[in-house]
Parts: sequence; structure tokens; C-alpha cells
Amino acid sequence: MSEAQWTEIAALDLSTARAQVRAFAAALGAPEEPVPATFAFTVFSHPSVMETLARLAGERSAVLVHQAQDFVYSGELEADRHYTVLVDWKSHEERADRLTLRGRVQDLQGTAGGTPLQEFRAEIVLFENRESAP
Amino acid sequence: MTALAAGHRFADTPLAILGPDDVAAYAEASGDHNPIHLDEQAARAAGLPGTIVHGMLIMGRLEGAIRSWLPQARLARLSTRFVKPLAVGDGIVIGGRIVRLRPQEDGGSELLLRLTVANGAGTMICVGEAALHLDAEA
Repeated sequence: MSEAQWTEIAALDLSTARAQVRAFAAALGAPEEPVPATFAFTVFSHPSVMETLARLAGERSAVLVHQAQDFVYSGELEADRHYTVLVDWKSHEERADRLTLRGRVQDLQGTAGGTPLQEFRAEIVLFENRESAP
Repeated sequence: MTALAAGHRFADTPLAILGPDDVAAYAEASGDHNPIHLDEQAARAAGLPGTIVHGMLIMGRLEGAIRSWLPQARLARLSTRFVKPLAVGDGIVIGGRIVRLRPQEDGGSELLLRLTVANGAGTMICVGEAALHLDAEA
């Protein structure tokens, strides 16, 4: 079986401005240094990503529930920088109610095609309320 | 520091309650305002028993636990899978143990941890795995 293809959503700016990192770390009860590993995940809340997810969920009258996450780190994020994150998604061949979002953080030199500084994925369930279905 | 070896179990973290204020603060800081985390009616309308805690908030707490156990280690990989949602207002207890410790060519070590997150009733809600690198002098 051929694997589903990744569909590009956007190349997004990820700012690690100290105030944003501080607020995020405080919400986790964590120190602001180093930048929390999960901070990059906040790009998944970007309007262009949310619009894509809302459209996919809307087609099924579903809500989005995160099922699993996976992160690979080649390096930590530095505070007060701007990174580019390539965000894309793909469907699951065997589960029509699942999709995977992927973010790949480019290093500060913006090296294209090389190993991302960080790569993270979220498996999302398009959760349908079958109890209320007629 | 206690010598690390495969089988070593870290002390479980104390129970941390994740209430509506914690979830609202995380929604604001992360930008994830999905109503299933914030609005009881919206969560019930979606077929959930009530509002549920962001999975990423729990994963962030996992990272904090790992850093408290092994402050000298560098995180290389972290994976989590949720087996049950966590209701807002419930608590979490995080456990971890070393399942593999492998020497590296640079003199350091690679550790593989198995992670568990239980709710306040002791029911497993999430399992995870983390790979970390320890430098030679650590």
C-alpha cells in the first residue's frame, strides 16, 4: 500500500520572544530556560493550521482531540530568535478519523533540506459525537 | 547522584491538580483555544464527559519531570500516547524508569526512559518514551 503524501500547510514564523516563552513556561510550571521543548508545538495554533484542521473536522462534524505526540530534537531553541517551521499534514491510510500534523523547525541559517533542528508530530483524532447522531 | 542503570525507577512526581485556571493559562500561552478544553457545554456537545486537559500541557509536565530527574541530560526524543483523556480538575502523577543505558562513542551514554502518567485515581492516562544523552562528565 502506498503511503499517504504530506500536504503542505505553510512555512510559519516561530518567535521565541522572551515574554512569550516566559508565559508558556509559567503555564507548564517550568523554568523559562531552556526554552521548553514543547514550545515549538505552539505553531500548530497558527490561524493557517487551525483553518486547515477546522475544514477537515467540519467535513466530518468532528472535534479535534490530540491522541499522540512525537518529538525529535537535534538542538534546543534559543530565546529571542525567529525560526521558520515547515508545517504539513497527512491522513492515515487505515484510520479515516486520524491525521498527523508535522512541524519541522529549520535552524537559524534556514538550511533547507537538511536535518531539522526539531521535528514534531501530533496524531489527531477527528472525534465524532456518535451518541447524539440520529 | 545514584548510579544510573537499566531498571532504575525515579520517584513518582507528587500529584499535580490541573484545574480550569491551569488549562486557561495554557490555552492563552499556547494559542490552543479548542473549546473542548475550556467550555463544559461544548465538550459535552462533542460527546466528551466534560472539558479535558490539553495533551500538550501534560506532555510539557512530562518534560518538566524528566528535567527534574535528570537535569544534566539532554533530551533527544520524547513520545507520548494518550489512552484516556484527563478531565479538567483531575490530577496527574508521573512515573519513569530507565529501560536501557547504552555507552556512546563520545564517552557519554544514551538513556531510554519509559514514562507513565496516571490520573488522581491512579488510572493510566498516558504512556511515553524519552531518549536522552548524558555527557561523559555527567
